[in-house]
Amino acid sequence: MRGPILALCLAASGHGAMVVVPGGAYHAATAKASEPTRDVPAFSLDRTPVTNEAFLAFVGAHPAWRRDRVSRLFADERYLGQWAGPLALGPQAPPRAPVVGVSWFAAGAFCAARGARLPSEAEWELAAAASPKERDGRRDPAWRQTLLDWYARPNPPRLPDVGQGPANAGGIYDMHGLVWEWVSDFGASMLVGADARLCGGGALEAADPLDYPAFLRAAFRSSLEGRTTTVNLGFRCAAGAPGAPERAP
Amino acid sequence: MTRAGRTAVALPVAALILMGAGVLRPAPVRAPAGPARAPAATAPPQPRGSIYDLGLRVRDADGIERGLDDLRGHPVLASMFYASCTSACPLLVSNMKRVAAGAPSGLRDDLRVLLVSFDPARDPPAALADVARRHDLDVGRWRIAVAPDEATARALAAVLGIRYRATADGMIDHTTAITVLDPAGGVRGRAEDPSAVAALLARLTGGTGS
Repeated sequence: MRGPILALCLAASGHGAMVVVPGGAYHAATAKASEPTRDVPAFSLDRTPVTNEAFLAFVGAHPAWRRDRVSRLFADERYLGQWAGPLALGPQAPPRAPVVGVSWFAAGAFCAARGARLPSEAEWELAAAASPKERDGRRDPAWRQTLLDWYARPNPPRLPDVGQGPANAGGIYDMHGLVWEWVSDFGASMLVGADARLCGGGALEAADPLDYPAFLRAAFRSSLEGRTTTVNLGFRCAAGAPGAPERAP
Repeated sequence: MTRAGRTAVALPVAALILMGAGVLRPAPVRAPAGPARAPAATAPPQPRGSIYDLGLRVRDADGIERGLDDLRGHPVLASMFYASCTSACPLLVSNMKRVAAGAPSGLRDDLRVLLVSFDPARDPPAALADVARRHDLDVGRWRIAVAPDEATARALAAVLGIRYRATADGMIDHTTAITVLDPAGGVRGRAEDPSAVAALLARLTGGTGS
């Protein structure tokens, strides 16, 4: 009963597009089996990735984030490159499709302007563990295969709108199958080079070597810098659970 | 954490939103080193950007939180560490010392070194002061500080190209790049190898390279 009431409070405070994700124990796909799980407190998460139209409104209100004005320290040369112009979406960026080509700095600034923040990796992965049928669908071989099939597919030239697929068991859309998404602590992923333990055979020590999709995401994050943008990397925002004190993720 | 904690977490990014063109001191623009990319036909040169636009505040060895603005106007070597680290960090400090000591004479006096700890829980002010003592650092030129919260640490790490994560055994795995900042706060490059860092620094004087 508590969830729906809290969700209503959220809607009243302007967080209507968010849903409460119950807390839980998180164990990174790249962590050793011997490492203890981390407790992730309940939090709120956007139901869908941030759309082009929402990001356009943000850029209009905060011109320092226009692609022709942004500082190169905070976004690389491809920032918002799929838009027709600095303040025009155009045919490659349908209004309701997820915004891509945004840097970590830009994504964080968008969320902060809403009084929110990026989800941590632990929060994102906790929410992403759900399949359409269950809160934790990671053990379901059929679901896992669905995810791997997506990772193997090339990007469509034009991304579809957000919220089209079935919601997962937590009421959240597009955690898989649409775009990659930023997390606040992407810099904690050190799969490539930086941490030799995680390379090669190190993966065999991981808690759940079968959760290959989570490995892929960690590898992808480990390749990013704060200013990086790619044509398939978007984001959604998070916030503390309503009524609960905010904690640094 | 308290409401005050939440405010602190939101601040660095809030500063980013507010950053305006007026804050930026235009730096000379060099030809892009990367693959050729068609720039917007009529666009003026894109601002290089300054690390000081982040509005980050760090806690110094005296326990007081301050902005980074006192570094503005100086060339800076910047990196991150944690004080109780026994493996990579002493090497990092000694590498930074070596580069600073070997800096071109034209900027040696001006040069500042910024070393920020990832973790306020591990590194109280006393631990920071201890690092300066242990390594015999000139505190007039070295600023040893700690990020007061995770959001600050992540933002600084992102701009310095440093990756880190806390491990279960109480350590922090982290990379050890040293970033060279120009006096306006522009990132002129980063490297781990001291001779590569020294070369980046030398380019600031205009003596070598572009």
